[in-house]
Amino acid sequence: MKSSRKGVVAFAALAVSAGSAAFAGEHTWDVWEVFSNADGSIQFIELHEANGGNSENGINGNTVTVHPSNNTYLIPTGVVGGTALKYYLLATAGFAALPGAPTPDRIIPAGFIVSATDNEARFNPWDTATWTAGTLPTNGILSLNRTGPGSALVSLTNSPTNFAGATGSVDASGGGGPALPGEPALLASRLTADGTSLSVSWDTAACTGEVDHQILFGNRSGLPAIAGGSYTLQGGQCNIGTASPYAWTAPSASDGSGLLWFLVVAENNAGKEGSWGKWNAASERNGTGTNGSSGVCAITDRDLTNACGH
Amino acid sequence: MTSLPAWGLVVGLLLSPMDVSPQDRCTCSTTRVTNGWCAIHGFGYVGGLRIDSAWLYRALDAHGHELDLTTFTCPACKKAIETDGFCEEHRIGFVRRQAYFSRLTYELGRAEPREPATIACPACRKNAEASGWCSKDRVGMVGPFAIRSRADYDQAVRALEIVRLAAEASKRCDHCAGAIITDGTCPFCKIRYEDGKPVAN
Repeated sequence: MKSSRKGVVAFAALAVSAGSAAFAGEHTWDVWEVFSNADGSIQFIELHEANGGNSENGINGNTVTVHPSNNTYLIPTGVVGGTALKYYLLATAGFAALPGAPTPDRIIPAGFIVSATDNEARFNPWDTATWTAGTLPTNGILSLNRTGPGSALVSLTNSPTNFAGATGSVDASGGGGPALPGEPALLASRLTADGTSLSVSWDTAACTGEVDHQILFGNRSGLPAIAGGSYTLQGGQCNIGTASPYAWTAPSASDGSGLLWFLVVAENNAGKEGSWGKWNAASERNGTGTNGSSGVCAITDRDLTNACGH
Repeated sequence: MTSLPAWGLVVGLLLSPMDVSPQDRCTCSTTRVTNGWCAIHGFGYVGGLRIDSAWLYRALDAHGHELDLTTFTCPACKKAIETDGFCEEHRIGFVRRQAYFSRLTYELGRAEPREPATIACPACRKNAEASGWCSKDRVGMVGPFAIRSRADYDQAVRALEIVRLAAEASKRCDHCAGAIITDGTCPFCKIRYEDGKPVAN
């Protein structure tokens, strides 16, 4: 009698295993992060497997809906591989085009989230994240985030992550790349929300014969004390190449001012750098090295014939 | 037969179903008693109830989930983990530290699976065809699953009725079926459900 009972148990356990093997779950995915910029062109909704379930692959056939607009996206395929604590990113094409944005797992239409009136995002039918209508940040930096399974949403710097684990933070605050004062050809945009990583671009068409470029940077205390005075550098980002843009991990201002200025200058051959640009209509900006050069990045002189960069 | 040792029979039983994947063989003979799905014929069972929608069957997910239990911070969930209980707020039950995502699957997880042909009591055998409580044996059957507590049985039957409504709804819309089992709203039909029934939005 005892052994026969064991046999039944073994059979049942085996059959349960065989029956469930063909199906993967999806219950433990939560809506984790919701983001929109002001015009709705850059948005994402991030799901998160929040309970350490490693077989929650079956998200296909489930939908993501925002409410009350009822905009709905049907997830067409499941995910492959272990799912424990993974993320799944649904985002607009505008988001995907941003520098620093992880590749979305799925593209949703622009304006999917109606930021003024929507107050819920659902992973149907298993999870709903709610907020007060009108409180979804639209400054292009902050998003609404869960901090634990079932937690209330709080505003934090956006941190989109896709299923592969690629993560980042986007700056959708201004449409990207404002020109820097006095140097319309020099553009910079944040790759990270805190500005420690910048995409720096310059007018390469104006360059002639350069072999490299440097970023020269200084802080508030290094600005000239009087008009036409010399610029004192905090340092240089050497050998950034000849292709624009360049992704620069910018340092903090060493004087504690929080202000960091920078220029891109060409490096001509033989340790000479090109122009720093003009501080007024006629006069060159000057560093503290020979002939107004920087003296960093093995530069020993300046040759003003190459005026690209700045 | 007499020369076959008992362990040989067990090994044979264990090995023979596994050399063909579940997707490639008919499992109809066992799906009802195991809450299984027959990939060949495209239907499954949960609590003895036939489910024709693969999506609904997957959503019902009548097996325990191995999860990181430290991620459950809700006090009721924590208590449920320790006591093989059910958190009403999050609709998650725990059996032997495995998670079940509905009242029905939680009750089935605690129940004893019975092959109906082996049930001696005629009333219980009859009950196993759908559901029913046997006063004589003091056991309830939800399909081929035996539940000994009347209160648990009543909960399971109520939950089974919701799933029956969902299975019916899934013939026209899986998303309505999903809304029915979670008291949610179908994003496509825009129907909100409570206790299996449509309610005004």
